[in-house]
Amino acid sequence: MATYYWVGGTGNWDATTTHWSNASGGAGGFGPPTSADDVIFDSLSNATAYTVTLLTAPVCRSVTVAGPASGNVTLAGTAAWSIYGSMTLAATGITRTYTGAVTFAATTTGWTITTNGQTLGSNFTFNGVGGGWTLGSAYSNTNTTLQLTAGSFDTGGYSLTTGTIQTSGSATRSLTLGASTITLSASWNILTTTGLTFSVGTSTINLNGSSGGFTGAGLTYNNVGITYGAGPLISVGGANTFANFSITGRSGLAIGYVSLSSNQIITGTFTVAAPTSLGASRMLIQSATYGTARTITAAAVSLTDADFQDITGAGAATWTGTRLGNAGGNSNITFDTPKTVYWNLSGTQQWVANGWATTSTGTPARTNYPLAQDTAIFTDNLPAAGATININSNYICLPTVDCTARTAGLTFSITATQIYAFGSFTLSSAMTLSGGGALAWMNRSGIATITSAGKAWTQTVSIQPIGATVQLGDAFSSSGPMSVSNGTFDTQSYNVTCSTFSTSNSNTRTLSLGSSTWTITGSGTTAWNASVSTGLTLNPGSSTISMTSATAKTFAGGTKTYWNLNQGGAGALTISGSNTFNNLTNSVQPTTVTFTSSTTQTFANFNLNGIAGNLVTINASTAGTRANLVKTGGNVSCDYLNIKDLAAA
Amino acid sequence: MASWYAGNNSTNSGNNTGWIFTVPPGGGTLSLTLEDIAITSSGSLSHNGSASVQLDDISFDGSGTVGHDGTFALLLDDIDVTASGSVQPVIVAEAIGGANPWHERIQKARQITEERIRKAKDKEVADIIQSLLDEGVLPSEVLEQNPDYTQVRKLYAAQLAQIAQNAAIEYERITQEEEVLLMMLID
Repeated sequence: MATYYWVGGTGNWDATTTHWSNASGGAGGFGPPTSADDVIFDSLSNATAYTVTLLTAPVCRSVTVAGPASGNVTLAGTAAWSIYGSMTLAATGITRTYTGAVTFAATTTGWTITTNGQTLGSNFTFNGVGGGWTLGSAYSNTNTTLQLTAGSFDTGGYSLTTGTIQTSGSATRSLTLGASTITLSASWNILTTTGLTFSVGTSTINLNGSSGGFTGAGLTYNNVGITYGAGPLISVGGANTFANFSITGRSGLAIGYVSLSSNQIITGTFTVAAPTSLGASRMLIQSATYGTARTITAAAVSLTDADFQDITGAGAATWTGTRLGNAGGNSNITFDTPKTVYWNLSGTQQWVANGWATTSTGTPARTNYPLAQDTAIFTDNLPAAGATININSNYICLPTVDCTARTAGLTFSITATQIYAFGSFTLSSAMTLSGGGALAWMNRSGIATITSAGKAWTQTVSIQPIGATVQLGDAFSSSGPMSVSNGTFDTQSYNVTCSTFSTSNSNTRTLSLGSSTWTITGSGTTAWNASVSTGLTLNPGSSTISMTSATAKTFAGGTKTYWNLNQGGAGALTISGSNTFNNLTNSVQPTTVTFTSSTTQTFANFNLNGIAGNLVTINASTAGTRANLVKTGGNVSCDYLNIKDLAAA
Repeated sequence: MASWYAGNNSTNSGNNTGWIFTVPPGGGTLSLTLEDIAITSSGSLSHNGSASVQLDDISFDGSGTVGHDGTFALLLDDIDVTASGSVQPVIVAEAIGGANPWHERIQKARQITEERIRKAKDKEVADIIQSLLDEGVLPSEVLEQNPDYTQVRKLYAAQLAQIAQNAAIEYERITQEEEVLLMMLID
């Protein structure tokens, strides 16, 4: 074991011996350091500022860095650095540009990490079986990861700021938090607990990033807080226990969420503190699995401007609060009584703006912001014709929206892709929809009616009202896709136009088509996608589904019974699944209808026909492997077909 | 199982089973095509109110046996009514089909006869009521309170029924006479 001193100013820390001396300020020619050697940068390393660039995976036992006689030493480079002892950085005289990965690999205890306020920029990994490290000062290494793989890491009670703290694997390791305040810009990730000894102490863990996770692995924590102000998006994993869990510091008009993948226990208080912008600055407390409730057991709650979805309140707490929105699937939480509010603000505005009043001509107040259980009405009062309401914040929980009285032009620009709707949505003919956002209907009871008043949709619309119904109040036409993943969608026999339609999942859902004509304008393998039809009740009525794209498209029927299917576009139509139809028709020629090989399609009528010079090709998807076409009795009479690989019976 | 007829103009590209590349027995293409139905007006066309083209009683009359498996569809596509130039509020035309002038004259005669009978019945009823009043049988206040003779009809139902029967006999007689007369005119 030796101690080497850096000498000679600027240079590279590599396999050479030029800059290493066996004495402070001595002659070079020693080293290079091994994992058993300590290295020191001191005031005699150079008279003035200099730069040490770490190259070729340097190693050492302990490292001590102080500045030169004047100026700073700059630690530079990106090479991985293995340290088998302690790290001590002086409070001054150091400039750090180095960003390489640092691994503390000692296999004995008693080592310290003392950074004295130096801001680091490297991922730190503690990976030494039997090793032990304790912070000797506050630690600030933002936007990086502190990984514990093996050995013991103790915060020493100092504050610790980094991006993510993570531990994984099964090696023997311990994580001791003491009384530290730990601030994470990204995540707390306890990925495995095998071999882990966790000592939470009286610590506080704050997540202050815009998004991240708290993967707690079911351990017990003291205080955990979410402190990002502008709509934090936090996922909580593990069935954890907290002394207190809080969401504080909200500002602005952003909407955030805390998504729970397991039940949580809070032995103290669950706090969702009031934001600086009341009403529209909201937090959605939700289950990570839509429709699967999570229980929060709390001794006390303090809740303001929060929405809940699939949450069961439990414990000694009285689950009530101020401006609590019911996004469905909740129990034992007292929500605000439904109210009706009116937009009364001039000009183009955001939905979350201070534009809601209790009467059509009343003065808006932020506290009137409509919650999921409310009704929001637009009249001709304000804004004047030509204005736009921007629905551009994710996780807005739209209430019942009624624009029936609106005769002056008004545009709803929906650009956010996570807009949740909980009631009827009634447009007027004076309105316009724009934007490529997405709306998901999530009402959990009753019937929500979509009335378009002849206005075309441009958004993605998904229907997922578990145990409830979404129905049409008139014809629905969208240039975007549509899906049904839960609940009942009833067209009420109104026509539907959309680019693609999907109901491929295993949830309980009903699709009632009535006498509607569905026009599917999109192409591709998911143009009509019911390929996974488990849980799907399909009431075909006397409907017609027309696939009109001029490019190839697939009708993945999911082995269900339909009424009429029409090949309405020049692009080849592939029919997959073994389905039953009343009739199969075409309204264009020439074109192609391809049946997935080895499937069986059953028809009451079969009316594919070409015309002279424009044959309709019907075939199977794999050349040489037939598909089966079955009609029970009678004749099939076609003409001008080009037939291949089809067994008719 | 059905018989799958691909028609005479279809192509068998191979590896098919169950297809019959002919038309169904006795079959062929059964189609009704109405093309290029146009109403053309040269010069100005005036119309007041909604315009419509009505196609009634389009029927297929097959002599002999007609077999068809499937559905019949009557498709009326792309019917356009286009007016260019000025449109004036004037009724242009009315089409009446199947009118029989003698039938109209008979109807008119019946209307005249029925009016005569009604007047005769009213006169008879008035005469009877007047006679009852003259004899002091019917209080005058009854008439004042029931100018439509409702009360009178209740009190003297038997007499009025006889009057009605007489009127019906008279109606039948006159009708027969009128019809005989009219048939003579037709012949």
